[in-house]
Amino acid sequence: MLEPTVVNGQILLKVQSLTKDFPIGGNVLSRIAGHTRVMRAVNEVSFTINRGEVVGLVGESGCGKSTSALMLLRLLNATSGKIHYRGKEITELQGAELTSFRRQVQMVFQDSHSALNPRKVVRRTLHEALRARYGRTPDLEEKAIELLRTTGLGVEILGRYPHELSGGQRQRIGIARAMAMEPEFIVADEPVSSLDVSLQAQIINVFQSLREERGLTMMLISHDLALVNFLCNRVLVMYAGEVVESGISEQVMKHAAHPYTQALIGAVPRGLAGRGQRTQALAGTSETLGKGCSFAPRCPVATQYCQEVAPKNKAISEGHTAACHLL
Amino acid sequence: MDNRLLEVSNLRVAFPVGNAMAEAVRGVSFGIDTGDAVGVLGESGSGKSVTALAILKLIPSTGRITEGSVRFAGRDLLSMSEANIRKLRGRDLSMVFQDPLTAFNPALRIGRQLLNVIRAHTSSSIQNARARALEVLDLVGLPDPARVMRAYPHELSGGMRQRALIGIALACNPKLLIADEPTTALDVTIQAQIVELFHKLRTELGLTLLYITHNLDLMAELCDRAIVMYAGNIVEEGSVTDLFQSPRHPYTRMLIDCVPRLEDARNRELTVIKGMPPPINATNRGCLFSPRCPSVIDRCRVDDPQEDFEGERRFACWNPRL
Repeated sequence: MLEPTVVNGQILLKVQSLTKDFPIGGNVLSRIAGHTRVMRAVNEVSFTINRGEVVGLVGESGCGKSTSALMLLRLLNATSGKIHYRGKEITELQGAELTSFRRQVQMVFQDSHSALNPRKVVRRTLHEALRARYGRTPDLEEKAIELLRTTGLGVEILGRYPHELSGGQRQRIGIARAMAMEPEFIVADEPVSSLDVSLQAQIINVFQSLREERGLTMMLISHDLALVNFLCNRVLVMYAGEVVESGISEQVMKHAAHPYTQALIGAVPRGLAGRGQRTQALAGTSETLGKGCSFAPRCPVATQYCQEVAPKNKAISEGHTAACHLL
Repeated sequence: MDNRLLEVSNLRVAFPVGNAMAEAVRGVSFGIDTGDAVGVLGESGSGKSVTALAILKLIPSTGRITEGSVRFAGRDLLSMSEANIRKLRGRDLSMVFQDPLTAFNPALRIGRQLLNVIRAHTSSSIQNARARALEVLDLVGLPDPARVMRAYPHELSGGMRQRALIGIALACNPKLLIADEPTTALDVTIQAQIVELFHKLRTELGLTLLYITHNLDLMAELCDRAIVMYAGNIVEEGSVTDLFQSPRHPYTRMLIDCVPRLEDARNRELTVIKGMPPPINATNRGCLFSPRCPSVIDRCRVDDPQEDFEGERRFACWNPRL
């Protein structure tokens, strides 16, 4: 097995000051006139993903992790900021260039049930994706079977409808369909959280083999820190639309610098080891941005200064940064 | 034995599938003593929720309890009339459901729903009921209980809703609280808050708890004893420590090994449980786990496994681990 931290240093994706505002309240007229309040879902997020790397994006629901991912794939347009994919700015791409970009990047969705067309058998779902990639070639069936093999499924699945498959099989079809495009980069949004524990390992293993055998670059969105630690080289921790800590997974899990990351790690159930010595749970829920550090209202160590001035990302060690005044 | 609060014996529950009846719960027996916290562990479809619903006689109308008995505080629940069991539900026997949004009536304020429960089960005046309502909302850690009383369910966050639901379940000091995956729909940080709340309720009120979950690690933190279910059967039961440190049933072992953990070495091989759980109408002879079991022997495919007892633990396996 390859050592997962050894990666090719070439930058595949570079994100600079990515921001997304959603309008809230008001009606159609006020929106046209531009008099609307906005909710900032993603606030000036910057990071890079190297070729061959698997990066985890963690945080609570509503922290902006899925919104960020949708912008990376141009499934949602950014309010401001830049995304460079293989050195090329993609936020303004249109027409044939956009289509060609979308062939190189693919997404695996959380809910495999709603991600597959219920009226199409697996064969048709896979053939459509393969035709989009290769055009009308005679060996679609062979390629479809090859995709099933990659994801650990048998040929007998080809004639089945999504409702005839188990959750684990459906999720693997979702991965197979994404792989049909031979993408360079895959975003997987909570790919195992709707599955039973006994089936999760099957999907995790598929991702592991894609990483090790094909050197696929991936972004894994999850709230499961143990899973992220297991599959990802690097991790980005998001809170209220901002990246508050980033670094090599092992380093972040062992030496978390930001109080939020520490709280997230403390919230993971620990089995027997956690009996009677649970760390204090983080109080409250995430609220919208005001001035100062957005985590300050829930932070156990916040000072007056934290309430007033927003912290900037600071380097803690090689490749490990966190945005906290107390570092 | 006088401490025994709940005794479930040979419970069987069936649902119609096509023209036949299929068993979701296939002869389940277990007991809970006052003050215990018992975890029920299993995949979806293992029969854990149906078992819980059967205890409360809340099985959906198509289903039937075909056999067995449920004794609660010395009374037989299954032969009890609907009118009598309604008096018990929400008072002595409470349940917290997985999804706090669908468990509430969306058109009524939290306070109304909470007061309804208190007034249905006690003869307290409206003032006393209100005082009790505010008290339980405070007990479950909701800030500003008076405001929560006035709120509609959709106005609360998921974590607050789950707290309010636990508050309703606790309002009449139940003898037993059944919680069915109460944190599955919540964020990890909120899950930690709810687990902390259950801890507090156990230590401060001596709450007796039946906690249904698929999260082994969470259950191990909260419960003393655990029941592992597979395809409608109990395959193993024992103290949480025993189950974790030396599981005897291969399924229990595989459940422990199939999830990544924070302290894991990065490239540990995750155990894969091959295949799928059997369909609800499976009528195979022998052990229902045998098609997926790594330590299957010939006998497993032929004879139904019999329970073995070792002190406080039991397991149903022909080829148990040592």
